[in-house]
Amino acid sequence: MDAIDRSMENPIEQLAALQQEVAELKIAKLALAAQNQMLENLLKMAESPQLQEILQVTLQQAVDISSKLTGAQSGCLVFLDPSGAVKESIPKQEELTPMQMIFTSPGYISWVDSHRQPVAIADVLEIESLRSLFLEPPLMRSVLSVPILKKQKLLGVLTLMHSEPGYFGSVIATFMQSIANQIALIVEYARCYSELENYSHQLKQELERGREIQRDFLPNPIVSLPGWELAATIYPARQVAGDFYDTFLFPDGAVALVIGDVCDKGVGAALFMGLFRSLLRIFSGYYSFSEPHSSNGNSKSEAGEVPPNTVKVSDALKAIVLTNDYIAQNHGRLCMFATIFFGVLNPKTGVLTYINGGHVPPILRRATGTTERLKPTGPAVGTINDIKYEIHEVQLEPGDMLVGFSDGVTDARSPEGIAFTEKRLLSLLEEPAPTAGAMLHLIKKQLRSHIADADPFDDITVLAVQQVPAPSTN
Amino acid sequence: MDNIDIKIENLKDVTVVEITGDIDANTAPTVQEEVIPQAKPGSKILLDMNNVKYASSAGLRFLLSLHRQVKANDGKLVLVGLAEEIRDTMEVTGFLDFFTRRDTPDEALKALSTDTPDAGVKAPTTDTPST
Repeated sequence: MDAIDRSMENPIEQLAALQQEVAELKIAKLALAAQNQMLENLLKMAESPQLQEILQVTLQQAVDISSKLTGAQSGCLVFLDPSGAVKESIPKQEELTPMQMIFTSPGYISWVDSHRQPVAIADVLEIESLRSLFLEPPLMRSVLSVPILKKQKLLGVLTLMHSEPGYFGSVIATFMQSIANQIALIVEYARCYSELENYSHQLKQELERGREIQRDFLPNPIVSLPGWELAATIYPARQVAGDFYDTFLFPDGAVALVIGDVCDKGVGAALFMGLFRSLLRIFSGYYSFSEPHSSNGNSKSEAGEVPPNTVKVSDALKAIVLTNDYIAQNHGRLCMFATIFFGVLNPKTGVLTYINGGHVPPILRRATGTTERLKPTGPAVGTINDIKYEIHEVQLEPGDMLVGFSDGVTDARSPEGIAFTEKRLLSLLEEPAPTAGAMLHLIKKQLRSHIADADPFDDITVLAVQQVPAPSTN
Repeated sequence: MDNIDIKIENLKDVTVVEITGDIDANTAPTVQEEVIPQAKPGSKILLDMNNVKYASSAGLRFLLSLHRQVKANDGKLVLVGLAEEIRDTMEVTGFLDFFTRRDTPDEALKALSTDTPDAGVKAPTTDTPST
């Protein structure tokens, strides 16, 4: 009441107050417009793939906009890291002139920080210590130093210059104070974006390394056997996969055929993929037979027990039981498991002896055109300790083809969300494909056109094995 | 996308857990976090899956985890309302044998109220037998 009464008594004072208010509003409006412009640019940048430069570009914009709005002829901006050291500067560190270097020096920064608000220097030539630097072109005389504060913490310092002494008056100083608050906000956004981008870039690189290492867990090249053709493919849904396949030779010429799918997705599944694959190799006796005995008859018991160069298929298949128990005992808390088909093929006889640990049944396409499935002979591997697995046997004849796959094949989704289905895979197997490689190619082609541009749904793995048909006699 | 709803109710001494939504790599952590703590010592859990149309291997992992937790705590667990697709996956992976299953919540409550400890493997089931 008092204030109103008094101003009513004095119209001139009231007018002055109004003018002041209008001036302040104008400044606020300009500051807001500047912020909007910077924000729009920031959002535009955030959508572009070149995010790394976002902080640098935003700082440059802050300098440009401030210069434009105040009429400053030159500007310099330093952005500090949390410890107070210079993190970025406009112009860049290596492009700073000796004069601009002053404005990035710790002494200057702490001087600006101590003022807590914009400080104008009417004529730098009057300051003895700076004089010599400012006598060089571009002959700047007045300087406005603007601290950029966020919650009282100094984020950076913006320095504006003009060749005319006393150019930066109190109006510009007040204006820059509000602009500085907007800059603080935008720069914080830009810093967050830039940190996020750095982080995501690092993560991508790490996963890419993981992918390369994981690729090394797959047989390369796939085993080649006279009279047989083996072909395999794997498409991880993410950078790293839980699917795997393996082929390796036993010293007696038998070949292990493995296809597996570790539960869940991503890095966890990928780590377990490496473990499952390696446990199977080791537990199957692959290594104990492939290396010659190092001891020269000293260990009688060993030499007596296992004749070298023979593999008992049932022993090799115990790898599934041992792997199951190992995972269930040592990693039970995580409840990780894998569905695994593990077969040992005798290439001479064509007998395939296998355990199917809860894996989607491989398809056996007979040369006659009929199909059979190699159904599970026990549950998924790693689920429950001390579980029985049955060992089954099947005779492969010339021309027969075995196709093992992961459920990523049948679950593969089209852009409309429709699954590829087992039915479609089975119908593909009715198509004439002379070789395992040709069949794999056909499946891959169909899958690719089904998935089109949809996001990968699950890892996709196929392993095809064919006994090459006997050459026709005519 | 990763919408999942978990309702937990206590009917006398039985904890009824009703899940609505797909259990996949995205939702499984939530399901795991909310449901596993229900498997307290001696608890009786009825897991109603009527409103779960799809479970990825991450969903199976959750089921295995619940099964282990219940077993470790001498509790009982009965599954109700497995969608055909989930049942098929559980059959291939051998998971069906780990669980006691019933067709309706009433039958499940009856199974939980008997004093016999959870048979788990080879438990009688009224589900249509697999072929």
